[in-house]
Amino acid sequence: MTSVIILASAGIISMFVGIFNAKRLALPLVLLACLAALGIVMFRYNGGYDGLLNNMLVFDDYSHGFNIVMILLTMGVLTISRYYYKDNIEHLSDIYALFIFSLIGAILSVSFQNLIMLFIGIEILSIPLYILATSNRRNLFSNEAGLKYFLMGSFASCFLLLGITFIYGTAYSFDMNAIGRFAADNATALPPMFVVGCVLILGAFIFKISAVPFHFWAPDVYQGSPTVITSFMATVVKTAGFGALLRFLNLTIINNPGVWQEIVQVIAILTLVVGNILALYQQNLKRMLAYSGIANAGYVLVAVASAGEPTTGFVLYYLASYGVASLLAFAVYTIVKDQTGTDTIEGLKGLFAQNKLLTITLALAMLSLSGIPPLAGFFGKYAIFANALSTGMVWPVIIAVLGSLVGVYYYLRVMAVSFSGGEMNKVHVSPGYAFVLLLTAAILVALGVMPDLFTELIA
Amino acid sequence: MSQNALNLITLLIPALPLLGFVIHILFRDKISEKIAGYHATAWIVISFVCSLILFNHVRSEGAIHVQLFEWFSAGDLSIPFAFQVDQLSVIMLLVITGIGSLIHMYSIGYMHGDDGFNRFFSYLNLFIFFMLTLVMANNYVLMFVGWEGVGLCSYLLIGFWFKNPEYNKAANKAFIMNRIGDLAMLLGLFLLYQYAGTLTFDGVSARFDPSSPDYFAPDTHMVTAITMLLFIGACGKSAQIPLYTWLPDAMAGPTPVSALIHAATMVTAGIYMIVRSNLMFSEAELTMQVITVVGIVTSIFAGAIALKQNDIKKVLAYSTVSQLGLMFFAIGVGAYEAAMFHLVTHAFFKALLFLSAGSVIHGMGGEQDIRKMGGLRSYMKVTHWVFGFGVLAIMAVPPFSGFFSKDTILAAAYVKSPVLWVIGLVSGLFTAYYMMRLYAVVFQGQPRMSEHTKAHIHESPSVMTIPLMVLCALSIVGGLMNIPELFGGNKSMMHFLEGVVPIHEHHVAVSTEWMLMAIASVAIFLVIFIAHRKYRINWVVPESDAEMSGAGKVLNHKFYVDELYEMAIVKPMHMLSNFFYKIIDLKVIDGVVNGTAQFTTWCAGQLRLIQTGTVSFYLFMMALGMGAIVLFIYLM
Repeated sequence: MTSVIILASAGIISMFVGIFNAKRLALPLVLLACLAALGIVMFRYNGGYDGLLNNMLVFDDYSHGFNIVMILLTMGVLTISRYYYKDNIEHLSDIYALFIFSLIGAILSVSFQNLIMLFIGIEILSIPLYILATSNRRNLFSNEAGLKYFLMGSFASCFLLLGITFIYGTAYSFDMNAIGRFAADNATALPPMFVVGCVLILGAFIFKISAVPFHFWAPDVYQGSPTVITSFMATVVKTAGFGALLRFLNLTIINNPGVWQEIVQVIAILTLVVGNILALYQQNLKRMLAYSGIANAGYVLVAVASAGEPTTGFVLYYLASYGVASLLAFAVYTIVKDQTGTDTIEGLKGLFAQNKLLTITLALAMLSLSGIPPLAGFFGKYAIFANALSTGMVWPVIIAVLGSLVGVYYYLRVMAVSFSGGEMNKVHVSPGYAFVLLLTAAILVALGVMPDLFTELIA
Repeated sequence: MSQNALNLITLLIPALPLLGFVIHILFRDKISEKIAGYHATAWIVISFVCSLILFNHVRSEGAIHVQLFEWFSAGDLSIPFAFQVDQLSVIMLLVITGIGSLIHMYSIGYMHGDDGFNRFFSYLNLFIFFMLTLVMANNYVLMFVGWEGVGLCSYLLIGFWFKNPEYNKAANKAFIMNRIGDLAMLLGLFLLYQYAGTLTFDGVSARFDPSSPDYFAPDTHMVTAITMLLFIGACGKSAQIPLYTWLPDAMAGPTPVSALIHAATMVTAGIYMIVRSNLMFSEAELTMQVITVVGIVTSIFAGAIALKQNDIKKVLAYSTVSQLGLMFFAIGVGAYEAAMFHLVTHAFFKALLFLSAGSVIHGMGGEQDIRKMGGLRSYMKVTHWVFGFGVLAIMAVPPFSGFFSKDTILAAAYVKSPVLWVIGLVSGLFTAYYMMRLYAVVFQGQPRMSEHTKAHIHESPSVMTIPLMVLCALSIVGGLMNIPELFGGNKSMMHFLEGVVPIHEHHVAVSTEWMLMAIASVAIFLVIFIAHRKYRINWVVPESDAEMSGAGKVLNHKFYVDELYEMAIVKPMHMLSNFFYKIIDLKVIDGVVNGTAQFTTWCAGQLRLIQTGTVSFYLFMMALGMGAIVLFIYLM
């Protein structure tokens, strides 16, 4: 809770900083707050059960694990944003504040112990995002993306709210313990209303993680939004969505697989097929990454469908490796787009000759995303597939392996193009940015070489 | 030698090429061509020296294990990051680093003046690193790291001259074919983990070794499924039917790459993997039968295609596919040690043949069509001689190396069944014919090149011919490694491998063995004589494509397999992807909303349309999806 308070204070102060014309302070301030929050979360780790506000929030190891990943990813996004927003500086401190508020929403929604807190968390996560998506105010695409996201997001919130209502109507409680007991007591004959309620809530999560059939918004919104916001949505928000989804499942109907397992499998398969095949045909790098985000949601859904004891660790590991690799790709995209104006994959021709650092980090990200050992993406996929197979899910795994083979093609195409020769404008990377890139790349490699360090965090 | 020193040497072997690669990447623009070439070669030579030390140690003391750290563990899954150098891997190490250093050295001359000289050497170093990882790993996952890595390097090197779109196509083809194999391989590994509960080589072997405490009676269906999947993976990497068509196309890469990757090392990874898993494969009778059939059919099929090819590298490529088929055949009949023996001798003479072909191409200014060569014996003396010895070795003429290794395979086949022996011999006869044809058409007869080319033909520089001579010596005497008892030898290589692969002493009467050998040799000499008459004495030049008759045409078009794949797989796949792209993506999504994907053509007038159109459509799909999910639940 202390971490949430620190972050919230930093967000509010950051807004004031804007008023007093000291915008340059905003970024160090929020980064410092993130660092402090990270420190507290890590310190509290293994701290056990921590019920708050009449047991509405519980910071257990599950939520600590997700929080660490989300805070780290947010810090990465914030650092990139410093370079992204350099000439659009009028509302900078507000933008940072909104990032922080959204992060708080993410933290709340993976730590909820009460459906009301889940709803509040998801809304705190989403509303700043609607504004952030339009933060490039003079750009019509950005405005369109924000509006679209808002309309679709409201619809998803309706599902969530309706689901909560149905569950309350049958289980007579918002408290997850009570709901879990109710589900266990009526395991043989769950009331239809309760099941529909759970499914509606699942639907809302499926929207947040942009899985098929609720994925339509993602490519448009990802492409239209400012790149830093896109990277935030593709990494932090997706992690939060899965964190909340798995927590909800674990606390309610985990022992009634008949209700949810098959749906999740079908959705996983659809997501894998649609995401991977459409990603193949994208010429625009950002849009390709959006479809790749959809496809990756599919792999995690395969893990969710085989939910059990070790699954949480695998999911988190996968999300972390996907998040770091995507962040790296977005970071490279940002700088290339900014300095050469190109945003297509073909436009990366000749990058290697211009800038080795950018090319190599991009290559690392692509290799990890395509699941080439020994990078993190390989272990993430391997653990998920092996685990799913051990629970007897043969078809989703076959589709997922096939999908990942398709994936190798479009990821490595980016890599191959960037290594090939061609004319390109000069690309300059400032030392600070280079440091961030190297650090992120190092984390990615470390995740792959020493996955144990990480999976033990949440065992 | 102290344990620490040994561990260090073991680690140095893969670390040095990696270091070379890193240095190349960091200083690519700063180092000159000369330094880059020699420095890349030096790392591999040092690795080779280290491998020799290890070989000496393994021979006297046995296997070396070096565990670096526990790589990955989650649940029951535990994978160490560890190397293992035993009799099997040390042989592979010597082949990879030994032939690798020679080919590096050769490339200094061959790639001289190329724009991508430094890039080429960095890829080569990286390749050697991955190949060494592949053979030194002590578990399947680390081996798969190398497996994927060599595939990646092969992809990069085939498309090395990326300015030519044909070459990129070849690279993509190799890539996709290998993906199919890798898919099977991965599934096989998942199943294996499910079944054996471990993925280390020792752990898996213990499950199948009756004398081990971890042994349990094998579940035949499961073991068959696992070995089949692994074998499909091996087919992709080692170019067997039906996944072989990428290898001839891979000849688009520079010739040293064809010699190193597509003849001597990478393509043998599939053989290595199966020999490594021999206890498991021996339990799966069905799989072994499939391997025998696939191996021998590939061998004859590719040999037949090679009869009519007119591109010097294509002939050698099909010959490689054919020889690899023979090695699988040996595995199929249970003669693992014969497969390894042939793998080593084949690495010698095929690397030699490819490199001398490279020397010919180099001297001819890039010409690869053998119909435009001829009479080169008087222009390129060294190349002519070493190529000639290579041809004798691959044709299995006694006492060259190929004779001993092929004879070991044939003897093992005879023990299984005389029919297999005959089929194996037929494959050898094809080899003798097309190699004689190749040699005669290229080096004998009258020169057929243009006057301009003729004026420029030159012998290659010594940096290229020295590796050729070393390989030539190895091709001649390589058979000494495993001389059969018949000739007073003691099959030293077989005994060296004894701890790793099961050795079946086959019981054939000495007189039978003499007779088989005599029949085979006479048959081979007969074929050589026929080919010699046709191509050397009568100087027949292969006809141009238009004059070709029925059977020759089919062979020349490689049995139309590429066309068949085009019809059966590529076209439908393109149709499906077109369908997804044009109908689902463009029509349904973009079409309905009039092109949200094409933001560039977007204008104010359409904005209103797009927004209302898009979002309502999206929302409609969302509601529909939700309805479908709820319906789904109630139907289940």
